[in-house]
Amino acid sequence: MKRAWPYVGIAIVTLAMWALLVSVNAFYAGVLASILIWTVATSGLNVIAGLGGYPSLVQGAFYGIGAYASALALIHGQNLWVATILAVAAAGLAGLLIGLVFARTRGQYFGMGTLFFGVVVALVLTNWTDLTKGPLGLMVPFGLATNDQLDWIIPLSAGASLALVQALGTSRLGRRLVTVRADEDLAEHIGVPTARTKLAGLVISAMIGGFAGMLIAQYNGTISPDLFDQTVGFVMFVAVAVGGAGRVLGPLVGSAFIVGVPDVLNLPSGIGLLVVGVIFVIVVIAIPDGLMGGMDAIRRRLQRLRT
Amino acid sequence: MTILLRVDGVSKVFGGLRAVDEMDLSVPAGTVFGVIGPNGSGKTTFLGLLSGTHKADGGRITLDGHRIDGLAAHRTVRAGIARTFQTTRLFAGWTLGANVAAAARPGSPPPDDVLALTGLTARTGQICANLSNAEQRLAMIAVALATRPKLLLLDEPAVGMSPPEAASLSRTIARIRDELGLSVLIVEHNMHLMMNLADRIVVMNAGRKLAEGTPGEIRANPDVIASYLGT
Repeated sequence: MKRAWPYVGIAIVTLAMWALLVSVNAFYAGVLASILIWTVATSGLNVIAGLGGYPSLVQGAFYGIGAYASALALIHGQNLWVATILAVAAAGLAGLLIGLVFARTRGQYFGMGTLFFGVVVALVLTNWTDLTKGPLGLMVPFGLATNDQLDWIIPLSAGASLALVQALGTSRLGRRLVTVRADEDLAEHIGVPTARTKLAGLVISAMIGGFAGMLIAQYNGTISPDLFDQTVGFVMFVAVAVGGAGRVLGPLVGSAFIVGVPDVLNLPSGIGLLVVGVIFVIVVIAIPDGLMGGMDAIRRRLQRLRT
Repeated sequence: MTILLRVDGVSKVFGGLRAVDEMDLSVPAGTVFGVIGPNGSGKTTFLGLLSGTHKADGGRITLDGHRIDGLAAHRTVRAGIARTFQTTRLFAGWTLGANVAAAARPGSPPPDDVLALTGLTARTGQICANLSNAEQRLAMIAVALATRPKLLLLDEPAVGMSPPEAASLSRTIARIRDELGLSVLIVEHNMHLMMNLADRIVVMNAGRKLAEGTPGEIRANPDVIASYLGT
């Protein structure tokens, strides 16, 4: 029963998000939908960057690959199921490719490698105009019966991504990723195949990111390369760090701050990024484990005081 | 006596330095084998070659008849070799119990047994960073045992220990050999511990094997006295 509590909590959060999404006005519903789609993408990132402790800056590229793959599939007459499978598969394949190249690198080298790949994907999306229409972007055919269906699909997807990370965290792969985060050399010497573990973590991150890309394509109706450039990958990493890397609800909390604050304040994108930067610096200095980590620390302190 | 580990002509070169040079060694099953030698003689590199930390540049290593040189460290662990490190290496922010559990795999001894053998049962719930030096060094052995090894490699396990702590460590290693039937290869500078514990000792100097024998033979070997033990 104890193992079920996190899932009950995630279900309650998901229901609350759904209730909020259908009850607030269109502006706030838009902000919330963006936060929830980012929650899916950053939950994916939470696998490699949170559980595995690897600074992947490429999640924005997976998000973009998923968005474009699903959009192109729909444009070519496929249904949304096929488009979603293609989005997840294409992003997963990209994750595999990056993983095969960079899974043996560490720390900042891994970060730089993934950032480089993010730049390459953004360049391809911008310059392969025959396929992507370049900076003009693509109109995405709507794959659902009605617009209202997104009101439950988006919160449900966010909840499912949080639940998936919760399940992964207690799985063998999750436990291996945590040993990699704690001390990769030691992990290798207690029998953890660290390169393969990182590769699996990155592919799963990518697949979830690809799914989020399908969601944003459906939600926006249009997509363009600027939605998925290297800055997006970096800001997603910031969102995970602010929310609490490796904490299941971290991506939701982080996305709420990183996407929600600039959107609610209706800031121009440059100023929005500046605000994101300030939030990041404050959190990293004041609460290195992120907001969820800070809440855990407060809860532990209260427990100690009570005993 | 069954030979568990066989090392034939193994070498390791770092740049122009032959850190290990044509080493040969046969470790029988169920024995404690000591490796001694001056600083820089290649002992830790040799351990690294056995544990997959380093790749050998030449030679052959077999464990239980299976070739293991060239395997990655995690595959070497699965083949049956576990190691500890000269500087303490644990998941420092985790409890001791979590460290042991992380190393366990199907067929591993129960964590409680491993902790009891190393005398750390009472410390299971402690964060490893808060353990004493001696406890941390025993904790590394507990973690290594949790991987279900056939051969345990200990790199200076007694470093920083007081004489009573070293004596207790010596008894623990003897129990690992006698009760679990494991082979143990120890690199150690504590000659009192080595001479009383090891069944056989190999002496390394400048990456090569200088001598091999029982502790009594090593103590009487003039080459060893000249290069390492002194008068």
